[in-house]
Amino acid sequence: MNALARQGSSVFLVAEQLQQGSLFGAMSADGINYLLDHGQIWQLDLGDQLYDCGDVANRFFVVCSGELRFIKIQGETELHTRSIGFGEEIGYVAMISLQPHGGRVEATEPSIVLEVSCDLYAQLQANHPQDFGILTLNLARDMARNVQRLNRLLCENAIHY
Amino acid sequence: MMMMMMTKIKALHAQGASAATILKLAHTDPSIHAELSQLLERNLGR
Repeated sequence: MNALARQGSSVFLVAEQLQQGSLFGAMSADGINYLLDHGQIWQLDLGDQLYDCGDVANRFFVVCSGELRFIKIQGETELHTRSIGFGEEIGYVAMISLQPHGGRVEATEPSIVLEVSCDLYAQLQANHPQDFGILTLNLARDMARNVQRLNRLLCENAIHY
Repeated sequence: MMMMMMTKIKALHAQGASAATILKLAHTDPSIHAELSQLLERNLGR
């Protein structure tokens, strides 16, 4: 996994393109550029690990290209429970709930991800409050979709409370 | 008892700290982390 500088690298991240993704939809180009300019950009090769189970969760990641997979680890069980594609995030749930990561994330193809630390998240609120609000709504909507998906899976597998 | 334990977050809130700022501080200050975790768990009814 390699850290990239937004300027001077061969990777070009364009705010207007990222607006097409789920998480940055409706955010202004200025707000997205603020995150790109102040966040850490990572380049992952196939199989590279983004974080591990138990790691401190003080940041989340947005997939700018490529695809990741989340492998839930519970005791001896390891299960691929989610794929994360363009414009989707991973890590926010653990960050907002102050819990360590409950699984590991690795790249299933060469990928570029943007790291948004909780410090940068707070800076966005201070400097681009409207975009912070939109981003937070987008995060909530994506979490809601995951909850709905999980509810469907519970029903399909007859797992009751 | 609960009111007495929430002094740091209450103080930050009174100073105008945003929710995102309190979250950021919770990840760097163990005592704020403990307070916020307790608040989150209380709100979940645990």
